[in-house]
Amino acid sequence: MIVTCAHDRNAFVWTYSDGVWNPSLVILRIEYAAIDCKWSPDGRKFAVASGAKCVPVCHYEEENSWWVSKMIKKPHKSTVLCVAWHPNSQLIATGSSDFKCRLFSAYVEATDDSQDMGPLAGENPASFAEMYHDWSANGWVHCVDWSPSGNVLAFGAHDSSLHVVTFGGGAPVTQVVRFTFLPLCTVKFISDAAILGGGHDCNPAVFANIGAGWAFSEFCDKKPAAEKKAEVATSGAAAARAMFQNKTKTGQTQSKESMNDNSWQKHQSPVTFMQQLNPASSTCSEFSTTALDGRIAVWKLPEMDLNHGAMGL
Amino acid sequence: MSSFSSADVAAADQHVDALVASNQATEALLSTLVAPPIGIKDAEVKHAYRAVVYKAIAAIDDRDIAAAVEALDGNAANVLLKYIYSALSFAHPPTPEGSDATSAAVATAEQEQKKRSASLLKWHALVAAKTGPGSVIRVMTDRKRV
Repeated sequence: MIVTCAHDRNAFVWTYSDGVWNPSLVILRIEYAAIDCKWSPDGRKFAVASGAKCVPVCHYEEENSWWVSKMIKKPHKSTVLCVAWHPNSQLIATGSSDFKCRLFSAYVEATDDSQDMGPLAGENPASFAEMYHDWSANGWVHCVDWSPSGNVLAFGAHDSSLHVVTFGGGAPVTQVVRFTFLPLCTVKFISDAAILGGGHDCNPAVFANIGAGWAFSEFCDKKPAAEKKAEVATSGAAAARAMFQNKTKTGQTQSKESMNDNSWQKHQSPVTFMQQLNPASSTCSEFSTTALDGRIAVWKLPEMDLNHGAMGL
Repeated sequence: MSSFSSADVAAADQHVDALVASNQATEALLSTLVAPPIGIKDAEVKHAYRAVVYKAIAAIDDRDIAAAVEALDGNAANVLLKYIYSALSFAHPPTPEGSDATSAAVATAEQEQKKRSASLLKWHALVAAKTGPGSVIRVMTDRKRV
């Protein structure tokens, strides 16, 4: 099944039969756009991040053969930009434009068996839509993701920071990585010790935790060694002609490298989504990135020059 | 941070003066960036502290900016960038108005303003080169204003 949601406040669940995808409308009961939607890992529920400051969590009701939504509302003060399910399908993290990332219980008695507290073992089990924790950032929280083990939560905010929360034994511990490049739009764990971030630099960035805490490691896309460049005209008429030629060819005035020249990168626009391509049951060895330039790029981790052992890849 | 008072500002001011007098302008600047009153409610105190930081920045000669920027750590650099942006937001010394506005006085004021902006832009270029566009984004998004 595929779940889709749109700014027209609707969500559809598509089922495939006899070569045709059939949509069935889900009544979300939101008055504003749906921004993001995710299936729970067990595939029985899905959550929709919406501009109505709430997250409808939908499960299937057999008697009426339709998807029913329950709302997670308080205390979101603004649009919910992203949602991420914990691997146990009962906890959900949300990122909002009110600068906070929050952790809620998404335990639905009708669909789930027994309540599993996951990394919050030791805390009091809360009912559906109750908030366990929240964390603040200095900008909109664009993206949030759980580690494969479910013990670490990472969220990226618009103030060029990546917050990593580690659970297990007592209170959750947060570490903030303030990096030097532009904010992230999407974040994905590729192992318990490595996070990929895609953002406005159009280049997937690797953050790793190899002993001394989380830190930015490197970008995936590396600039190739300088190739021999054609002679740049510098005098009078020739220079003027070269400038106009370059404007029509590359959209930039200089043929020499300008500071913002990113034509060597695989992506020319902010990276908005990343996904593991090889089966989820094994360690990530291949992932894809999509960007606003309409390109999908596939990256092979073993071929990249990373500290694979330490990162658990 | 919430307990920052005008007495603390005065103390910081004296500290900066002392260090600048003994030729340690870089240390003076670093000392102002360690625990600034960012995000406190008292606007007067923040305003007064800004003047201390601007003084520390101005005390460092243009030739020594690169060395001073080298001495900053990540956090201090981010804080300094906030103060640089706030310093760039107004002209100083103020252009004389009314009866003071003789053409000579206005001309000298504008000369001084240009020199100050030029050196602030040098600061900006070097600090931003060190901390990247991420730090500029942080200046823009941080609600806790300088």
